[in-house]
Formats: sequence, C-alpha cells, structure tokens
Amino acid sequence: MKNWRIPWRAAVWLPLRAHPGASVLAVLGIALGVALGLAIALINVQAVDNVTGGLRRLAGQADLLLSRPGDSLAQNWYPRLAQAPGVEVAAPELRVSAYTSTGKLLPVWGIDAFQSLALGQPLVPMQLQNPYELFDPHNLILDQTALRALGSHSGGEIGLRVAGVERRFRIIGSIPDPVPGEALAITDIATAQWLWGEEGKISQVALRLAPDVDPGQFAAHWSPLLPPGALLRTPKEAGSVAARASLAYRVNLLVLSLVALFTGAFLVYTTLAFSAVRQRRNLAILRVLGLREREILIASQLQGLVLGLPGALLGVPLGIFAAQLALAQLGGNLGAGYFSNTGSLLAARPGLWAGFALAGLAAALFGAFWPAWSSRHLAIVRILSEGSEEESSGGHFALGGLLLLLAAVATFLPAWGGIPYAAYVGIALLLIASLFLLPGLLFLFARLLPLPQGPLAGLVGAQLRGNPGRASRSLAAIVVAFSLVVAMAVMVGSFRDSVASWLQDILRADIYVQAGDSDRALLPNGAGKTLCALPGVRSCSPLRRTELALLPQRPPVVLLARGMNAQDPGHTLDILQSAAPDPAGPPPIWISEILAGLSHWQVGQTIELPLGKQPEKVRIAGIYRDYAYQEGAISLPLDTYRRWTGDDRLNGVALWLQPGVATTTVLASLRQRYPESTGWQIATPGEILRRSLEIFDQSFAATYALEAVAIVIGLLGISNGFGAQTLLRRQEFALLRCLGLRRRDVLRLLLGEGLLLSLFGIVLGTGLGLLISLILIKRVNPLSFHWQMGFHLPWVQLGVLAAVLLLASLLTMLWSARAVMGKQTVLLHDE
Amino acid sequence: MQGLSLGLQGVGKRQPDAPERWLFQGIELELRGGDFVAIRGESGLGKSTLLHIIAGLERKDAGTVQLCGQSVDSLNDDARTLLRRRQIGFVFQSFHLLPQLSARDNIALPWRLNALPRQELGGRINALAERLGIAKRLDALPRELSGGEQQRVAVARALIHRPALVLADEPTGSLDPDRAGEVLRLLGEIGTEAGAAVLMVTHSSKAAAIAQRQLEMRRDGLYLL
Repeated sequence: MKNWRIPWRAAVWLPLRAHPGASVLAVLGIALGVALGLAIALINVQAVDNVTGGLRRLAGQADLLLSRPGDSLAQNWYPRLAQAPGVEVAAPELRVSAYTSTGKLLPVWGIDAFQSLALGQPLVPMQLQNPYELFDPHNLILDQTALRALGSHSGGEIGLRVAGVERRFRIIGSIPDPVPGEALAITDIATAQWLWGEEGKISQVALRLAPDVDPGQFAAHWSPLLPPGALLRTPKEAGSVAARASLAYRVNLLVLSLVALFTGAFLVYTTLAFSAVRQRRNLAILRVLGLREREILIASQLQGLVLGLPGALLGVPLGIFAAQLALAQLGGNLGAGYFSNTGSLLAARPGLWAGFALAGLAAALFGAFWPAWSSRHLAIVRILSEGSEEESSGGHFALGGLLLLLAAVATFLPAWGGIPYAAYVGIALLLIASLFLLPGLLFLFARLLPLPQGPLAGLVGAQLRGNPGRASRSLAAIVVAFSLVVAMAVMVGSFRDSVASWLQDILRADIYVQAGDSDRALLPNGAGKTLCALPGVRSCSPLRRTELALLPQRPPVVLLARGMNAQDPGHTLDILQSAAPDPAGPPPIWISEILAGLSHWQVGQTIELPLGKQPEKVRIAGIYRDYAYQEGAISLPLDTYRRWTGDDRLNGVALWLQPGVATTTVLASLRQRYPESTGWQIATPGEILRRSLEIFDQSFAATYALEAVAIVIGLLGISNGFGAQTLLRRQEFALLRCLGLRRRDVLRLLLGEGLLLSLFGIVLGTGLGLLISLILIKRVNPLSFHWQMGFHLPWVQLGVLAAVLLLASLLTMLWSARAVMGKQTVLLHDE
Repeated sequence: MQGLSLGLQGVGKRQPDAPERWLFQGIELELRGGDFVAIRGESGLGKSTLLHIIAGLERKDAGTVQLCGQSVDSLNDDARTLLRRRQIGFVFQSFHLLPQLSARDNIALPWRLNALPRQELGGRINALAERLGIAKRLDALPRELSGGEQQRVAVARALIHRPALVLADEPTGSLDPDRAGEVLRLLGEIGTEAGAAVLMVTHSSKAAAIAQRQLEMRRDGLYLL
C-alpha cells in the first residue's frame, strides 16, 4: 500500500483537463443529482419534523395523552384522571371547528388555560394582560397563520359560523404557530362546549405524572378501563404514529429522488469510460514505466473523486436552494397531501447535507470504477506498437445475466418494516445489468435492423456492429434516464387511470353535498332529511365519516357509515372480494383493500370495532377498492352505526335526482334552504372527477421534475459520450474525408449513427422502463401502500416523450459532433 | 503520352507557427498517368503537407495546383472533396483502415462512394487481392491482419476505383524492409499499369529507389536526384 505512487498529473488530472467540457458536464450531472435528491429529502424531513415536533410542542411537558380518535370522550374522564394517584397536572381539551367568512374550516381548541400553562403547552400568550379574558365566550386567541389567513390582528374582531350560527369574536392575543403553517384558534373549554353544543365532551386529556411514576405502567393500568377506541399514549408514540403514516410515501419519494443521482453516476461512467479509452496509450506508457494495475484503478477512483467532489459540493447548496424554493411554491406536501403545510423556513441539517454529498461522491466513484476495472488489463505491447485506440466490445453477458437474475430474486423478496427495500435494490440491479448487456443488445439491434443500401448506411451499420461497446457507452446515461422516465410515466399514468375509473365507478349519484373536508365539518341537524326531501330529489344516501383507532402503532382508520344496502354493497362500493352471506352471523362491514393489507384481515373474519359503549363484533363481508383513504377505511350501513353509537350527525349526503330534473334547479332550492351552504362542498360527479384529477396531477408534480432532471442528465451523458466518441474517431473521419466524403457526408454519417443509437436507446429504455414500472406497480406499490392498480400504458405521453428525447439527443449529438469536427484539422500526419 | 494528372506551379506553404517563414516554396512538378515519382526529404520539411495540399485537404500560400486539368484552388470544399473521391487514392504510413470493416469492405469503400457499377466490384477486388497476395484474407478484420497485409489492403483501397493519382505518404514506414520493398513494387506496378500517376513521399532512400524518378525536397523546391 505504501508504495502507491500515482503520477497525479499524467494519470489523473491531465486526462480530465484535456476535455474540460466533458469533465464540467459530469460535475454538473452529479451536482444536479445531489441537488434534487437533497431538496426532496430536506422537504420530507422538514415536513415530518414539523408534524412530530408540533405534536411534541403541543403536548408541553405531558407524559401521556388520552384521546379517542374519531370520537370524543366523556368529560368525567378528566376529573377521574386528574385525581388519579400519580397525576400532577391534567389538562383537558375539546377540539371543534368553525367556518370563516370565506367558508374555510378553522380548527378551534377549547382549553383550560391554567392547566395548559401548568403543563407548558404553547397555547396561551404569555403577554396576555388579563388571563381571565379567555373565559369570556366572545374572545379568541389566534395563531399567526390564522391571523394572516383572516387578515386580522390582536385586538381586532372576526366573524365565524359556529354550529350553524354567525358569531363575532374579539381577538385578545396571538401565539406562534404550534404546528407550523396550520391555522388554529384557542378558546376556553367551557365556551367550546357551550357554543358548539358539545356539553359533557372532551377530545383529549394531557397528563403530567409525578417523577416517580412510570408512564408505561400508568398507561398499562388505565388502558383496560378506557372506553372502546380510546388510547393512552406518550407524545412520542403519537408523533411516531403520525410519521409512520407517511413513511412508505417518503421512502418511495426518496428512492425516486435518487434516480437523478443514479443517472448522474452513469454520466460519470460515460465520461470516464471514454477517458479510459483515450488514455490507453498513456496508461500503457505508465504501465511500462512501472504503474501497477491496482494503481490504474486507484487513479480512476481519484478521477471519480475529482469529478464527484465539486459535483457534491455544488449540489448541496443547490439542493438547499431548490428545497427552499419548492417549500415557498408548493408547500411541504409536494402536493401529496400527507402534510398539510410545513411553514417556509428550512432548518439546517448538516447530517443530511453530508449524506447526500457522500451519495454524490459514491455515485461518481461508482461511475469511475467500471471503466477502470475493464481496462486494467492493458495489452501494453500491442497498444504501444500499433497505437490502437480500440477497446474490447465492452459486453459482459454473463455478468449482466447474473445481475438480471439477482434483480429478479430481489424483486420477489418480501418487504421489511413495511418498505420494499429489496424491490428497490432489484430495480437498481436491473439498471446495472442493462449496462453490461447494452453492447450485445446493440449489436443484435444493428444486425437485425434493415438498413438502406449505400456506402453511408453501410458504414453506419458496420460501426454499430463493429464497435458496440464504444457506441453503447454514449447511451448508458440516457437509457437509464429514459427507462426511469418511462417507468414513472407508466406508474403515474396507471395510477391516474385507475383513480379515474374508480371515481367514475363509485360516483353514481347526481349531486354530492359535504359540510367540509374534516370529520368535524357537520351538516346542520336535520339537514339529511331536508335535503332528501328537496323537490326533484328521487333518493339520497347520507354519510357519517369518523375515525377509529384500530391497529396498534398506526394512525386511525376512517369509518364511513353510509346509507347503503347491505344486500347489494356493489351498488355503493367497488367490491374486490366478497364472503358468502351469513345472515346468522354478526353484522357485516366492508373494509378497503388498504386496510386489508395493513391488518391482514380476511373476508369472512369476525373482528371487534371499538364503537359505542362496548366493542361491537362485526363480520368482514368484503374488501373494496378505495384510493381516497391512505390509512384504510371501513364502510357499514348508517343504521347499524347509529344503533351502536346513537350518533345521528351527518357529514354529507349524496342525492339522486328524478329523471328530467336539472341539477341547477335542485341546487337553487338547496341554497335557498341553507344559505350557509356556500361554505359546503357541493359537487357533481364530473366536478369531483375533474378536481380529484387536478389534485392528483399536483401530487405528482414532483415526479415530473424528477423526470425532467433525469432526462437533462441523460442528455448530458449523450453529449459527453458522443462528443468523446467523435473525438476518438477523428482519424476515421479524416480518412473518410481523404476518401472523398464531404463534410456534410460525415455529418450525415454521424446523424445516421445518432439516429440509430437514439432509437436503440429509446427502444431499450422503453423496455427497461416497462419492466421497472411492472415492479413498481405489482410489487413496490402493493407492499408500500397496500393497494393495487391496473397497468395502463400512456401511449400518447410515451410517444411524445420518445419523440422529444429522439430530437433532443439527435440535436445534442449533432452539436457535439460539430463542435468536435469544427476543431478538426488534418489528422493524418504520421510524422 | 497520357494527359496531365498533376501540375504544381510555384507551390509554397508558410510555417503555421511562424508565417513570416516559408515551410517550402517554389515547388514545380508535373505528373502524367504511368509516372511513379518519389519525393525524398528529411522529416519536418513538409512532405506530408505537400500531399495534403495536392489532395485539397490543406490550403497553400503560393502557386497553383492542377488536378486532372482542374485548378484545385478554384473549387469549393465540396467540389474538391468530390474531385478527391474520384481522382485520388491514398496510402498512409499507419494504414488507416476502418477497424470495424473487413478487408474486403475497406477495399470496396472508394468504389461504393463513387457509386461505380456493383457488378464489377467483386471481380475487381478479387483481381487486386490476387495481385497483392491477400486473396485469402479478404474477410478478416484489420486487427486480424499483419502490418504487411494491412498495407496491401490499403494499397488495394487506393487503387480500386482507378484514380488518376495515387498519393502515398511514407507507405513503408511501418513495415520491415523486405515487406516494404514488395509493397512498393506492387504499388508502382499496379498503379502505373492502371494508368495512374503515383506520387510517394518518403525519407527512405531505399524506398525512393523503387520509383521511376526520385526528387529531393528542399525548402526552396524539388530537385532531381
């Protein structure tokens, strides 16, 4: 080891400096990959930190939180726990909501200000002159986001619709956002119970225990005594459950964000592969002078370092800038809806920066390794005596085949911790395998493709058949980039198509009326019956939506109590699997395929639902498709729900109209009957479909950015590769010029090669992309998110992408060829 | 008497790095079909540059170049290229065969570029290969051929389309003396038999001796030896 003496200038630096354009493009490729990956990771981590950090801040110094997802708790749990041995402070809370004048839903939390302060919750402004002011039912405290959203200020007044009644409130103070970017109003708990008609109910009790009391033991003692569905958890557990909800999505996005970095690695590969070929004579001389094979490998790794380090260092600030820009423009959810908002300031995360810088460096070293490995056995004497710049075919079918086999095995391995890591590795192996199979496939392609007669076409074919290794090196980055673009396009297209056909299938009513997005957004009392009785309405289906804590360590699932016919569930739901009817068994429910995936429950199985006063036994009568609720959903007849819970509130109603009655007529009577319905969500199926697809497209905006960057990096690879190839073939072109080929003939020759190469790249990239999309759709998606989708090929989009890529790569090739040819003088001097 | 294949009058070229000085000047030369002339001179005098000027690959700074009755100077790049394609054959020191093409395809290239009748091509290649002793090596790739075989393929490629002028730039520089002599003899014989003028530049007196006429290149012109 100590004898490694690599002539830095000759073996590492000068070859890179000899082609500064190619080296700069490789650095840029790595920088872009690092920047994109880091930006997405920063936004994700920020979003999760905000959610979990917000929960922790809200909990103050609480050791345990008692809550009942989707339902309230009886108020008497507060004094019971407050007086329990070992409890020092107990802070009750009632969470309700009100409509602003613009129809937006504003969360309102009723608190006991003194208990909240004792617990250190950041819900009461310390500068409040008179703490008793909060007891006045006309007073509210707002957080900064709410103040901004309502355009108000401390001391100002706002109007809110509270339980169907317009009320005026005075803002007596403001607090920093407890959860960044989320609007919130604070009032006294008694005010909330009284004005919202929730007397005797609370949503949560936060407990601080005496120092000698173990929270785990306390929770274990109390949990069996709690009502069904109630949870006694530490704030950390509550936070991790919230973060877990988006884990698979975040891992998926992170892996996709590494796509650009992966493509960047192939760009470095292209650059250094040609550099290795160009350097053959130099390396042969250095070998004669005493450089060992392993030193050639080290020299190449040093070249990878020279390209990777500036790329990584440039990529980090670029990524931070991009993340900041994206946060300002899109918000932290990147459109996906997992995080409502994250605020706009990025926290410093040196660990993450360093991680992505290292990943960029690793990509560059990976890209640099293979060319050096394949050229380490130089035929020194031959290269020196013949001056040959030719290289081996570059094909490694056996290795490629082995990697392909490993990829297939990895794809079928199960998920680990709910994340299909092995399937992701399978995709990476598939791409690397393609690198080794490329030359052989190109040879076959050039052999099978019918080329027109003529000397130029003959030369094109001969070049591709005769030196597929060299030609395929130019293609590595673009094949990888295009395959990933195709894979993402097919996956997103399939998902979009599945969502659209699912919506078309389930949206069978003429009008859908919802009080709002949240479970707390309720229709006024009696609105269900009134709406069903509106003139022109033939029938209706009321909906009550709430949440249930069903699975340990998972966020609550959504419970949808509908006006559905238990004998004909297919009329309301997109049923995937049904159990045989069992009239003597427990009442039926239907679970979404996501819930089936998460819980591993089977059709026909009997489970208990923590509804009402005691758990209710139910039978899973079927599994249905549902793309709306990522944490899973349960559907059951509304009558059953009401019988168990006594809850006759409604969140929405679906209306079927009599034949010939116009939607507008019914809507006009609805507006007249309920003037407050301007704040409701009322839509026809067409509008819901359009809006849903708009949200869908927004959600996948990040993938389009990924596709664009991958393509740009791929094109950089083509530019580098083709430029280098043209340089390598200067003598050949000079010879052809001697033999009588005009400049434009040589360019036509290059254009022909470029066209065939691009076509081959597109064909192979499409094939690989389809394989990857199959893995994503059939393995990664069900393992990560527990739902299936159809396989839909967006032909038009793929065609446009292929045409754009073909044109872009042709132009890139021509540009690099012209740039090189422009510098070409007579190159056939033998002296 | 054959027509004039090449006429050089007062041709000169300045040194690229010192334009105030001439690399060479006053070059006068006339070649007719069947001539085989060798130009000798030391390295660095611009012998290869003179060949490139004749072929229209480089610009001269003085004089005129007539190729098959046409002034090369008056032609644009395309026309010069077409003239070169049809009327000139090249042989280089380092052979410069296209590595991805077989020997047969390398030889056929000028014929095909000139769109000459396909039906004659096979016979013409076989005849040339027979004369040059490479008939059994026609399907080999350049890397599978020895140096001597590669140069014979290059000679065949230079002659296949029956050019008016064959330019040979140190054609034996990469061969051992025995093979060099044989290749040169064949180049001269076949070229002149076909009515081409062969102009060879070399620094080797032994190689030059095979030509019909030897000229020495100096900075101020060509001198008969």
